[in-house]
Amino acid sequence: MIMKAGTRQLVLIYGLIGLVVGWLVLPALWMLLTSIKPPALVATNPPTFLFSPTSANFTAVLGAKEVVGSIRDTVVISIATTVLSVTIGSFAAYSIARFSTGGTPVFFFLILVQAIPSVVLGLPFFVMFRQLGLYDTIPGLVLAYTTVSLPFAIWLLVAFFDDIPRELEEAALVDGCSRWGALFRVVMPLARPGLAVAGILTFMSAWNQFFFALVLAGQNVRTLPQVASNYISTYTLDWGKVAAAGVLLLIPPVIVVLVMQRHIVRGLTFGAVKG
Amino acid sequence: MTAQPVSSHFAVRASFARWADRHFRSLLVLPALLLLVVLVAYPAIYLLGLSVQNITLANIAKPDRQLFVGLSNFANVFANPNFFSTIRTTAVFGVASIAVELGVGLMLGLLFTARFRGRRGLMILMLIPILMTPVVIGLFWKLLLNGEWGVVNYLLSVVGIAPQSWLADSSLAMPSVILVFAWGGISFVTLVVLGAVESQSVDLHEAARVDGAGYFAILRYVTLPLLKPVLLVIVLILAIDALKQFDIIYVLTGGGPGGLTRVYSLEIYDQAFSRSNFSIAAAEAIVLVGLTVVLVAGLVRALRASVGGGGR
Repeated sequence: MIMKAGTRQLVLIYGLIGLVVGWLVLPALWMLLTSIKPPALVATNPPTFLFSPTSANFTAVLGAKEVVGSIRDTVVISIATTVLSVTIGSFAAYSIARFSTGGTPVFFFLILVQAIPSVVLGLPFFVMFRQLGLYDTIPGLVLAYTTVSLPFAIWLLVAFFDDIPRELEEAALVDGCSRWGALFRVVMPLARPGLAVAGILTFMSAWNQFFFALVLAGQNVRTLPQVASNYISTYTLDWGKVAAAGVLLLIPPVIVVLVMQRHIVRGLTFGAVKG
Repeated sequence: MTAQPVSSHFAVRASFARWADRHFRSLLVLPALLLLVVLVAYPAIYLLGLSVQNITLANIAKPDRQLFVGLSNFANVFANPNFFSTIRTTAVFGVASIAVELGVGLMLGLLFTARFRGRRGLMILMLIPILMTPVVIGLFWKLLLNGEWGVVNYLLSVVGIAPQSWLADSSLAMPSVILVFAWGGISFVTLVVLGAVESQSVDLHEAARVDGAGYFAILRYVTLPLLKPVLLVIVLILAIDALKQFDIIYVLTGGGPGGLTRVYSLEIYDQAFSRSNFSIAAAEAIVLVGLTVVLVAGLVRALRASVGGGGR
């Protein structure tokens, strides 16, 4: 419904939207502001709005060995999870998109695995990983993350493959290409933008993961969300550092939003609008 | 594939190629299927095994002291009044957060259908909460809601409201947690509603307008009825999301004060990782899977209906 708004409606629209967007945006801005505040001014009542910005919090956080290590671990785990999920997932997604492989049970299973709370799998993993020597290791976390990322990647990719016209591969088949040849020479090159979007969103979901690292790692391997959450109890009086760790965690999501807004809307909401 | 194989080597290759082509679709799914069976189905069976034994920290490394106890863990779970207060907490948390997300998200989604200056920029800002790390959402709201120097209290003091300890007060902790969680879900609702409304046929709205219907009449008799299948999908997705919730509450309150915000996932976490009652936790987890299956079954049906009804 395209509304033709008059002046009065416009005032109302701007008022309401301003209110809600303020509610959605200002909190994150306040964290950004806190992260560049001199430590003495962070916990003041009334709050300090004007101050000379400092990089002290970031220097302190990035100078801490556990933070640097956790950034490295988070990046390594997220990339490994993404590569594994998107590679294996793309073949499965293509098969599901073209041949409805597995039918309703597979469709149901893919949603169910994404819907199951992390604690349900985290609990058996906790016991199993200790026996298998996967506890507190990067491969262990990659496997745990994959339980979430693989169905997510397949789910995203099915929609992208749906959009590639069948006629192109049919033409390749008529020209004597094998099924596999058509897949690798025609479909996959066409799917590259979709694979990139799915890869970035899968990376983001891995980057944001918290629970598995909380229960399956902590000494040798740490992730940034885990370290940030520990900071709250460690630095109860030093919120500048907590805010700085939070800002570091937000850098990838913000970059992703700015670079590929349009694709995200599609990738994240089609599930509801489009089966 | 009619070419005559020249040597046995080619014959093998050709027959492999034929076999691979014949099983094309299955071979493509196989790696993902195997990985998910190993990573999801096997742990699920393991979880079932845990739930019918008596494993705690005391006997986890001593298989000879582990006993098969049948369904007694489930009986204990259902006999435990704390478990029912967890269920109630989860239900209150879920219903209230869905109401906020749906109410505000729907309103915003409808407002965004209007053409106004700055619309695109605002929509980009709306995307940020969707991709934001849940731990960070908990973190900066904890900063804002601090009882001694938080900005929320300061802003309220400007209009004359006394400072509150939002996350520690027994009557305020739950509403605070609900609003913070809903904060992360509104954008999703807004974007889905906006997409669905914009894909509605303009003719119907036009026809209603020609017939003399005003904005709210069109909204009530055309837009919202057409939106119904999508709204049902949204509600189910939000319900699943609320049932999964752990990260934000863990950071904000850790389930406190006095267990008042201890939703289902936190209860299992406490049972397993604070009290090391692995078998009891496993029984609770299986009940949670049952609840999730019910919601997912509803979602699958609703998705089918929304696509069938032209919800694309």
